[in-house]
Amino acid sequence: MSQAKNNIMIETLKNSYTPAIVGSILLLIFGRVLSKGFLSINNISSILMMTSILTMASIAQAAVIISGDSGLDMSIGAIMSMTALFGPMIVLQSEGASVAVMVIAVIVMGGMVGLINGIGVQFLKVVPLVMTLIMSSVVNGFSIFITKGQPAVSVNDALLGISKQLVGPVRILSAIVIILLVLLEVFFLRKSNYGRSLFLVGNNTNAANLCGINSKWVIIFAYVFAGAIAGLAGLMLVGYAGTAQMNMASSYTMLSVAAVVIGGTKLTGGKGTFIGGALGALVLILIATILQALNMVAGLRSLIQGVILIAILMVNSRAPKLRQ
Amino acid sequence: MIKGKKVVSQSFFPSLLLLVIFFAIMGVMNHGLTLSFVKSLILTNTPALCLAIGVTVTILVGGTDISLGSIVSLVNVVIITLAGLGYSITISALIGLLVAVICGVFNGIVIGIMRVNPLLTTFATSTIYAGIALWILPNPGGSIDYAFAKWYMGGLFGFIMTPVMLLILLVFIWAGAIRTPFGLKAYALGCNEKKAYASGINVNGIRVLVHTFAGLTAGVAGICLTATICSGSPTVGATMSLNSIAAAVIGGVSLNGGKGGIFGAILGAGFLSILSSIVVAANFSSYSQSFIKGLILLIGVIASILAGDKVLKDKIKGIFCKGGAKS
Repeated sequence: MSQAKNNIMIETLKNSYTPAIVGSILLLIFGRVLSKGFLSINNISSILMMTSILTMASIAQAAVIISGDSGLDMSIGAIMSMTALFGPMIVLQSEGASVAVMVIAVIVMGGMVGLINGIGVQFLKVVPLVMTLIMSSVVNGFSIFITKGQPAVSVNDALLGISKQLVGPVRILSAIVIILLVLLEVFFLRKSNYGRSLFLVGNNTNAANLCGINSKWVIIFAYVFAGAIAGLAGLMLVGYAGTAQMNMASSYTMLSVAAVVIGGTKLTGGKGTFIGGALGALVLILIATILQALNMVAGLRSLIQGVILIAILMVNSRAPKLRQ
Repeated sequence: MIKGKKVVSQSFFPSLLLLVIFFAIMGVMNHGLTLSFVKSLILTNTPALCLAIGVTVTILVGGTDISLGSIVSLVNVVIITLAGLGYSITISALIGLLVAVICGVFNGIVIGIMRVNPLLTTFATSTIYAGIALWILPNPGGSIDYAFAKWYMGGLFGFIMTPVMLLILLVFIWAGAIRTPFGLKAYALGCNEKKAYASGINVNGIRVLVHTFAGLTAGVAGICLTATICSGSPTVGATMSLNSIAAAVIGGVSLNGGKGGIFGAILGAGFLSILSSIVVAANFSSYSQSFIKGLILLIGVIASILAGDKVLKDKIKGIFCKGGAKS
């Protein structure tokens, strides 16, 4: 009996979600102890909203990381900033229609950047880290070039309204993201033909090629997917913030990587989940919110954030000993 | 002829070519290169060159370091704050250097001994170091005695400028280290970690040493930067770390580790600095500058990677060999 219990315990401990779930529960309790208003509906709904934006970014990042070949998308922040700037510029007669066009436009914009990333990585053989890094400076430069450095963004009411709309206690967008997350996880990553070939390519490109999978296009599509999702995330961000600035989302790049890793995905590729990334995003946003609630100086806040991140990484993602 | 072939086959050759071409473009645009122009180019870009050396060294052992820019900011803030408190310039600069080395050792311990992924570790530590810098000096400001800038711009022996001396010092330290068994071990580690461990190389020790050296380069870069701007800013190095990785890649350093060297990185960083001054000098509208710079950077990286491509090289070689046989 105790043996079986022990086994279940070990199974739970080995689950890659466990650290993130335990961490976020601890952080929620900690936040409640520190300030009474922390668990108020209002605060929770804004935490969920920020988490869902970071979740979108981490879904994008996870797809690229899973594709393997030291895949990493450092241009997510730049894509988000770009779509946050350009998306609201679309103005049609009815506001609802312009939001619909915006959604399509940001997906196309992000997908285009992702396509260039993918082609650079697969056909020109530039290392993903460098390719996406340079792409991010190109995209940022492009944003400055088009807006002449003065973003004149007026976010239209329909877009603002969507991000403020509530369903029960939760904002509708966070609810949509959570549903989208589960759908993508199950039907895109686990069940679909593409998802399976993505995992196979990430694990072993040669084996995938021998199985008749065109690994190049599988990986390129991962980058396109990442770009498109990041584009959507940028639109969500501008809807939530209500105003757009240059490089407003640049911090999301590394945060998305951190979220994916905290959620139990290894950077080597071939393994990983979208839901883990969402849990990691929740942990990161909770840390940031708690530190903000404590009214700390910006520098101290960033210092503590870094220390917590390092502690999490040390617990969660140590490489196995070389001897084994 | 043999010597020429040797140079062409080196991994840093594409970056050398890029550097020479863009230097020539610069010369045409400025109607001839003056010594003072070259001097100012060196003065302003030594920090970037130092960081390129540091990043390259960490990439060679199969790691990477994106916290160096934050270390530069931290060193800048520490020096300015200490000088503001009344310490002499030498002491504040040395303490700044010490801080940078400690930061590097910390990176090395987390990466080497705790075995955490280098990219994530240095991302986390870069928020830590940038946080400390922002905590010490929340707003840009402060000043330092002009003697510091004079020491930096002046020459030690009349004509060799201080930044060049500092660069040569860093190069000598690394080049000296590479000629010892340590160098062989570092390259072996970069090529294959498991095999290196199996052949009895102290993997953790090398990681710590390499990141310590990277910290040292960031310290030197911080001192140079402080002497250039003579003021403090907590975000001054924020963009430098990623540029230095790009410089290393242009210089023919393989991000998988074990290939390339610091000379390529220096050439790559030199190319980047000339590129930015060309874009500024070419009278593009100021809004399009960063876009154009990004595009040229993209083309440069792709060109240097294609040039290192074996298949392509063999094709070119084939063309040349045919030509040779005809003549």
